[in-house]
Amino acid sequence: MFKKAPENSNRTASGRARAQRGNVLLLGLVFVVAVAATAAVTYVLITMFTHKQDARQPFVRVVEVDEMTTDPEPWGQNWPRQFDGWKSTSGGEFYGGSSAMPESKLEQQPWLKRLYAGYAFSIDYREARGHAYMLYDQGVTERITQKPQAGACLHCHASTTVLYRSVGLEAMGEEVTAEKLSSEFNMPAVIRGFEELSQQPYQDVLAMLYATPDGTPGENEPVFPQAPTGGFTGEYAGQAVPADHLPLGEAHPVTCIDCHDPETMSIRVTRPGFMQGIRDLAEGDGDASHLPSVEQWRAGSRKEPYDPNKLATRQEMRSFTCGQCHVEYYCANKTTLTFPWGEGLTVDDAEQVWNEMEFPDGTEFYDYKHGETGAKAFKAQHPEFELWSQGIHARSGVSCADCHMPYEREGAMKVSDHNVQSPMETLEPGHPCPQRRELRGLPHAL
Amino acid sequence: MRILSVAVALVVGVLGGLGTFTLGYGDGLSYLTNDPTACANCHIMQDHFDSWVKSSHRDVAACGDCHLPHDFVGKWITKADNGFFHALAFTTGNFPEPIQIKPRNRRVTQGACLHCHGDLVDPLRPAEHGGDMQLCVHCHSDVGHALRR
Repeated sequence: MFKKAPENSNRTASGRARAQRGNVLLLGLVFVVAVAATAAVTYVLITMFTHKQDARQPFVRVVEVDEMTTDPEPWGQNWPRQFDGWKSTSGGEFYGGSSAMPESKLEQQPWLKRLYAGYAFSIDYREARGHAYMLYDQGVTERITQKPQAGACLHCHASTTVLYRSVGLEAMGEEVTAEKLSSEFNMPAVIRGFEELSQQPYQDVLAMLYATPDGTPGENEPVFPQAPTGGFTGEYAGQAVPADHLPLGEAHPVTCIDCHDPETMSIRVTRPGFMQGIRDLAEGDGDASHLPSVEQWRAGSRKEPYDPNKLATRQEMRSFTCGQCHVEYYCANKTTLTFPWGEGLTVDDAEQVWNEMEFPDGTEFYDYKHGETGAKAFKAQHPEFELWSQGIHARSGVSCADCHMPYEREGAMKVSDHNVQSPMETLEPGHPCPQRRELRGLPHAL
Repeated sequence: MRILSVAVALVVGVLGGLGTFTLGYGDGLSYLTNDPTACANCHIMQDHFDSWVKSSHRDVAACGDCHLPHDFVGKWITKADNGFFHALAFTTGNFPEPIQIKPRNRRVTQGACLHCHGDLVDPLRPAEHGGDMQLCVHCHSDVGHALRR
């Protein structure tokens, strides 16, 4: 438009003005875009920086924890996310008092009372609650308060490794020092201590547990309230425990140290029952195709007994830690705690072991004699580990923790959810499996 | 007008400087290489990198050998596609955990298996193109990333 000589000056001026307006508009647009892009780049830079910081220090070890630290509070200072998750197993609040106990299964299903006649489960049997309640609920159940039970019950309801190690060292004729208790796990001593205590009365072992150091001397305020002495039907039924009758120290439900090495944080097996049970499984010929390290051990020289802490893969350990307690077992006062895995992990294998087993006094093994018929009966406890072993998840390499403690992402950090609960609570309906989602939508199931 | 020009020059300059710095800080150019450590730059892939280091394929195939097509165009399109969406997902934090391979990338890995092992498994493949078949990793799930069991 500037090629031709302008016909009149008015038009030229307006053309120039238009061109200038166009330039201003263009410049303005570039300005706005550049500002927006700079903001976006800055945002990326800041998130990048934050993620790099996250990745640099997945945790800060502000206090030392060692093999004596059964108290979860110091651990909580170092690993607050996991500690919060663990505390959340209480469902946010801890309800004390007998009125807040979960519903009785015996009232919901009256036939259970008759089925369990002659067995402690006919006295009191309630819905299970989260990990936080395990010691409290055991302390107040009438199965414990009305019937004499064995100390072996605490194998799975309390953080007992220090007590076991201390009693074990003493039984082995060694001097028990704080140094020995805190420096190494010492599985032989733990197993020995467990054996010493498993057939002693429950209340005695619990009292010893209170008196056992928990790594926080001078601090006796438990994270969760402790069961009143004697339960709700015992000495202080339904009332607050008098101030002069407070327990000597703290006892904890299963805490950090029961699954984690305080030095390396790696997961581990700490329970004598599982150590013996998995050893029996490895030495037997039951199906263990879902446990590669057991198969590998079987194929090897078998010079040393199978040790999950040395041989198991990390993925196996993510089920083994749960399998320390979520199993079928015998745990009463006639013999020590036993996992019936010598023949394998199916219900028939367990039945065979129980059928062939005798109590140490030579009499026939049974869980209880039925109160009406006099029949000697077996009662399955809660064989979650064994049932998992039979299923498609075990065969596909999916562990307990994959669904019950799913990974969460916080910035660059990957944290497993320590609020252990049913995956139905965390996965949305129809949500695919968190571990092996690539199997979804394939034409054939395994 | 002059003020606006100066302002634009300033803003573009700042963007250029900041952009270059961010590219360097994020090690952006490493994504153009075949170095497997570049894949773990943004932390999410650290576990996958670690499990690859322990896998049977560590000496014969790096990330790109399985996760990128073996032709030039496909490789760079896949790189650009994943590069953009991975950056977007990690910056906004909007992605599922554990991370999950997309169908398109799944086809890439299957293609990579066949690129090397095609002759061996040829008799196992469906008679017609696109016929129903299992993915190699359905059974061989730990060849690229160990410790899955």
